[in-house]
Parts: sequence; C-alpha cells; structure tokens
Amino acid sequence: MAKKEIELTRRRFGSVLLTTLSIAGLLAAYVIYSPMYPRHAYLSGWALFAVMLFLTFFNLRKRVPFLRIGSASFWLQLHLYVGAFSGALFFVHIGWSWPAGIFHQLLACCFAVVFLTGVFGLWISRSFPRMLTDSGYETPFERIPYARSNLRQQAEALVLAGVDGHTSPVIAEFYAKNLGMFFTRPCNRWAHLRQSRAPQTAHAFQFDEVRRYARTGELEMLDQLNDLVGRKHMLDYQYSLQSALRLWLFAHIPLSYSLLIFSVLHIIIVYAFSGSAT
Amino acid sequence: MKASQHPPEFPSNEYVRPNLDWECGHLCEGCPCRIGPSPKGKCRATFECTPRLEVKPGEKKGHWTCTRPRSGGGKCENGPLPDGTCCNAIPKCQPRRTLRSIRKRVVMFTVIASFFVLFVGISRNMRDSFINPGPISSVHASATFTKLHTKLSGGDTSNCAACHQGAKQGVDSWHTKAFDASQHGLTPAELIKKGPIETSAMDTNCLSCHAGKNFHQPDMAAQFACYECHKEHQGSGFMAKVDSGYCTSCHGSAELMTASAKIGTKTDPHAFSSIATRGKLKIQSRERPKNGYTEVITAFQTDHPEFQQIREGIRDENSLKFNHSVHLRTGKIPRVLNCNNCHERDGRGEYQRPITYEKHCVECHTLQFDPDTPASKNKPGIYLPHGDPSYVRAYLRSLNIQYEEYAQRHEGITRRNELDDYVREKKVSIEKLYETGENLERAVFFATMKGEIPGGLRAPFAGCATCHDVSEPKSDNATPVIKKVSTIDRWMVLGKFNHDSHQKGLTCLDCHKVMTSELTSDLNLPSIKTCVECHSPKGGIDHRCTRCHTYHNSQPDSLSPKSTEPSIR
Repeated sequence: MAKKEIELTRRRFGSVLLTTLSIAGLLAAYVIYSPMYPRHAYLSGWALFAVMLFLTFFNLRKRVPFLRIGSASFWLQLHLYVGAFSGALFFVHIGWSWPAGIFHQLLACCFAVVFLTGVFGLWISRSFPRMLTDSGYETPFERIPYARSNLRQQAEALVLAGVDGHTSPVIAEFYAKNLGMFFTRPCNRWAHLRQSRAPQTAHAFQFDEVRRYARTGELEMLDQLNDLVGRKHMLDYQYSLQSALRLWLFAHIPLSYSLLIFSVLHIIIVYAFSGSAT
Repeated sequence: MKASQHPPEFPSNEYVRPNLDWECGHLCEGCPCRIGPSPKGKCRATFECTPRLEVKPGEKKGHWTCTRPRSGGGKCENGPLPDGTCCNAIPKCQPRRTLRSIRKRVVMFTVIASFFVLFVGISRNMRDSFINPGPISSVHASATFTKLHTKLSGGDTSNCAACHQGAKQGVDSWHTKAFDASQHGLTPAELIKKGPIETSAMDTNCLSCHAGKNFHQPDMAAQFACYECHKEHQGSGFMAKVDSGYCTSCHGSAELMTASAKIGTKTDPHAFSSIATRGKLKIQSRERPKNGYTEVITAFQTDHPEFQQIREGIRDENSLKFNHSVHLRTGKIPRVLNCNNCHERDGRGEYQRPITYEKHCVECHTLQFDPDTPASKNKPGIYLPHGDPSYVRAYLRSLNIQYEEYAQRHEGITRRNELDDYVREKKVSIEKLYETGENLERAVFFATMKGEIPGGLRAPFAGCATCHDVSEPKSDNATPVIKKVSTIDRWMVLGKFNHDSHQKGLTCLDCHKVMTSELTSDLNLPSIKTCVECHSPKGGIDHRCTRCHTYHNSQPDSLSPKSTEPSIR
C-alpha cells in the first residue's frame, strides 16, 4: 500500500514538474522568439485551439471503444496537466492584456470560466473524497435516497411508538414541527459545503429544549431520535459534497462547447479580416 | 463529522442505472418501482406483479398465482384478483430526469444559446461593434474619417470596411475570405516566417489616404505592412506608440542588414531619400556611407553607432571666427554672456533662430573706426556699415560726405562754412590716427582684435578680420575679399530633436561642452553617451527609435510619381 502511494506521489511529482517545465519553456519561448516571429499570435492561437479540442474531447476515450489507450486515470491526469498548460498558452495568445471587444471578451470570459471551474473541480475532486471518507458515513450518491428513506422510516416508527393517545405528545409535536421535513429531503447543503456545524448545534439546542419537557421513559426515545438526526446530518453531508462533485461539471462541460464554437468563429474572423484577405 | 457507529442502510444488491435519462419519481422517497420509467420518461408503473395462471391436471379454469419476486417482498398475502390482475397496484409517479440527463440538456441549451448569441452578434446591426476586437483610435473613429472613406469606397459607411476587405461583403463571404487568406498570406509556412510582416492587401486601403507613406529607403531587404508598426484596436485616443522592436526586427538583424547593404550598392544613389531636400534648412553636405545605414542596432543604449559627426570628426567649416570659451568666461569680455543671449529658439523649440550681427554682436563689436566721434546721449556716433565689403570701402572713400551728413543730422550744423570746418577737423583727426586713406582702409579690413594689421601697422580699433576671414584683393584697386559666413542650421539631420523638451533639469552646458571650445570648427555636439544617460531603461526616459527617427521618408521627387490626390499626414 505504502509502495503504491510512493509510486503515485512520484508520478504526480514528475507530471507536475513536466507541466511546470513546459509552461516555463513556453513563457521563455514567448519572450525570446515573439519579437522574431510577428505572427506568433497565430501560432499560439492554433496551438491553443488544438489543446482545447483535446481537452474537450478527452471524454471520447470513454465513448469510442477503439480509443481505449491507457487507463481512464491516465487520461484524466493528462486532461489536468494539459489544462494547466492551456492557461499559460491562453495568456501568451492574448499577449498578457485582457481583450477589449465584445466578442473577444466573451471568448476570453468563456475560457476563464472553463479554466477556473476546472481548477475548482480539481480542488474538490482532490479534497472532498478525503472529507467524505473521514466523515465515516460513506454512501454511494445514488443510494442516498434509500438511506434517507430508511432513516425517516426509523424516526417515524420511533415517534409513533411513543404516541399512546393519553399523555402529552411532546416528542411527536417536536418531530412534526422540526424534524418532519428534515428527514424527508436533503437539508443544509451550503452549511455542509462550508464544513459548518451550525445545523447540528441548532438541533442539539432543540433537543435540549424538548428534553426538559420529556418524561423519563421518553428520554431514551429522544436519545435514539437524536442519534437518527445525527446520522441524517452525516447523510446530508455526503449528499452536499457528492452533489458538488457532480454539479461543477454543469458549468465546465457546457461552456467548453461554447468555447469551441466561439473559437471557430474567432478563427474565421481573424483570417477573413487579416491583412492577407483580398 | 464524526464517524458513525451505524453504517448507512440501503439495498446494496439492487441495481441502479444512473446513466439512464429518467428515474422513478418515487426514488426521492426511497421506494422506486422496479420497472422504472420508459426511455422517453413515461411512468410504466402498473402492478407489483403479473399473476401467472396455473392449471393443474384435471382443472379447467386453473388459478392465478402471485409472481412478485423476493426482492419485491415475495408472494403477497392476498394474491391476484379473480380476473387475474394483481391486487397491489403501484401508484403512478412523475418520473424525474437524472443528473446526467439534465447535464446533457444544459449542454444542448448552452450550445444553442451560444449559436443564438453569435447569430445576434453578427447580424447586420451589431456586427461591427460585436466583432471589433477593441476600440480604434480617435482619428480612425472620427466622422471625418467615415466621410472620407465612404467617399473613397463609393458609399460603404462601415468603418471596418475602410481597412478590412472582409468587412466589405456580408457574413456569408467570411469563410471564403478566411480560406483565401489561409491559402495565400497566412499559410502555415507564413506563420512561422521570421522577420517583419510583409505588405498586404490591407496596405492599399491605408495608402488610399496616406499616400506616399510606403517609402522608407530603396535598399530595404523586406517590406513592412502598415499594421506591423501601426497597431489599431488598442484603445481610443491616439494610436499606440510604435515599439522599437519593429525597427530592430530589420535593423537588429545582421542577415537583413547585409542584404540591405548589398541592395544599396546596386541602387541608384538618387533613389535614396536625400537630406539635401529638407526644405530651406542649411545643412552641411555629407556623403552617404558606402553601405548606407546598415549597422546592426538592437537597442539605442547598447549598440547604436556614435553620431556620424563625432565618429568621422567632422569640423565646422564656417569662416566666422568665434571663440565660445572667451565669450562665456567671466573677466575676458566687458559683459558675461550666457547661451541664450545669442542662441534663441524658434517657436517650436526645434531650431535656433539665426544669429545676426545687428542683434547679437553689435553691442560689443561696434565698428567704431573714429574714436573722436563717439556715441553720446543724443548722438549715435559714427560707425562703419556691416555687410558687403564694397559698401564699406565706398563708405570710407566718401568720408567727407559721411561726416557732413552726420554734422547736419546729429550735430545741428547747417551753415556751409561751419560744415566745412567740421569735416576738416574730423579729417585732421583721422589723419592723425591713420596717416593715409589707404592705411585707414587696411585697418578697417585687416585689423585684428588687438588692432594689429599685417605689415606691422596698428589700428585703434578691431577691424573686420577680428571675426571674418579677410584676404587681400585679387587685383589693384579691388575690395578685400571677406569669406562668406555660413552657419549650419542643424548638424544631425537624420533624427529630430527639440531643445525645449530638453530644458527641464538640463542646462545647455550639460550637453554642449563649450566652455573649453576656442575654435569655430568645434562642433560641440554631445556624444551619444550623453543621450544614453537619460534615454535608456536606466535613465527612465523614452528610448524608442521613433523618439528621434521617422520611418516614413519622402521618395526623391525625380523618382516618385506625381500625386494629384491631397494626402493626409
């Protein structure tokens, strides 16, 4: 296991080093050669377009059977490092100054959003899985509704068991008022993303309040209910982080296609409006 | 989050299909139906099972058996209804799209929206502003420019079309234009070509207004496109300053400069832009260097050659005798002078106004040959005229008339006999000083600052030879020859220079070391090192080539076609 981790670390270090050297080489080439090659913007533009095509269609590897060269992990790593390189290439292409025209700003913004969402995605895909494992209540995303339903059923059964029709239904009222919806759907998404414990604390206060009015026999039930609430919080935590791991792609992928479309028009305009067009 | 004692509970053996587009509406409740929605998103829920008719041997009707699988709870207690339908109907649901399906739709929507944005952007009304990569300079955005190019193009009011061929037709022609460009000027081989961008079709549009701006020198090894240096779309206001990199892309290339030198040697010398044609400027004629101006220069502060005048030790050939050191040092002359007393700048601060005897020299160099007729409060005194030597000689030979006229005008003597007495008295006085008229003439022309005359005689005043180069007359009774004074207006004519803009923080003596200059032939020009002190990255002052030099030269008249169209600067 340790050997595998060392190998992984070594491979990552090598890849990061290679990417850093590539970026440094690109910047050095820009500084040295751009004065000699007046059409360097065309060269960097074509290179950037090729890189964007590669990055956009790296998913093809999954879809086209005959392209299955190398593991998915290898292609993902390649996507990440080539993506980082594309950021440097983009700045070289725009000459370190933000474009001013409407279309060019649109194009540049599109690239910036795709790049930044990519960086965000990289960050969460590296940090969230560890958090999810540490939380200790790992549940596959597709199974979360089942687990939630199960918790709800347990909680409802517990509460119903305490309703005898004679005594004050404190716990039942508490459940109906404060916990009914909580067990029905995912809650506190942003709080969990922020790693906040405010929702748990709020529920703990509520339980302390209810505990004052509960009879001796109901205290055990409250403890069990509190345990279920704690598990639901952990399930929500899983849901929030796993949702984020999927939802960032909603910005990254669609805008990648927009970027390609805008790039094609950009190339046509640049060529059609160049000095060489007759 | 703390690790829980209880692992989450879910049916781990149940197969889920997150790659499908639809999921059961009951999934959020944790109890989806087993069959799930159709591929088109329709709920397919009917009953929990499809009962099976079992007919035992001897039975006619048989009986219905529940077929609910074990995963669905196994056989139900009630069993199928008599008509063979399941007794447990599944409540219908509203199927929901899966995340994957929603993402597909978002992708589709974004792609359509992108096309829509492009469609609106390149529509006729918005096209120019949408595809414009940046504001153009105020000159090319002005109404005057629009009017002018509309007239030239025959009615096309789009400012883009003034320069870009691609804008002259509609969007439908862009791809053909782009293809055309990729086949001619922007082929892959062209993209990796070193050196400046060569002239292009766009230049003809520039030259339709800026006529004659396509000439630099006939020995150029590569031609520039206008937009190589003049970058548009860099913002409103003035056009972006021309970077030195464009100049050094040729002048910094040994290869191109060698090629240029070769072309230059085979080119008619008259085809070069001549400095002799620069208006009414008085400049010293110089020969063009053998190889032209083809030294390799990569930056002003590093390898720009020393100024030609200093490098070649050129001397001022002006015949006037002038000693800067004497005139500027205290104690040697009655009045201490500073540079501005003589060198007055013109309105633009670019050139010095001419120095004249009447304005700058007469105060000290009075030409007063008769010390007995000095200037006083109401009398100007009698002086020789300054200018043509024959006038001077005529003045000297008509001294009787000059004295008589002076007496009438300034002494108030009008009677004949009194006038004769006055003239006689003055003549006696002159004869005492000079003895003869011939001596007087020699003294006037040949006396030096110390009053010495060739031949051992002395004069009581400084004659013409003090400042001028005077030679003996070529024949008897001829006037001595005074060499004509010719002061150069500007020594360094290949670059522009403004004295006014150099006034701040500098004095004349910081650049011109004239305090020790004793000869007229001293140019007193500063070395390039003096300029580099400020005009360098270290000095912090603009050191671009265009600070001093201009790319656009005028083609020699004999070679350039006469243009009838008025051109814009």
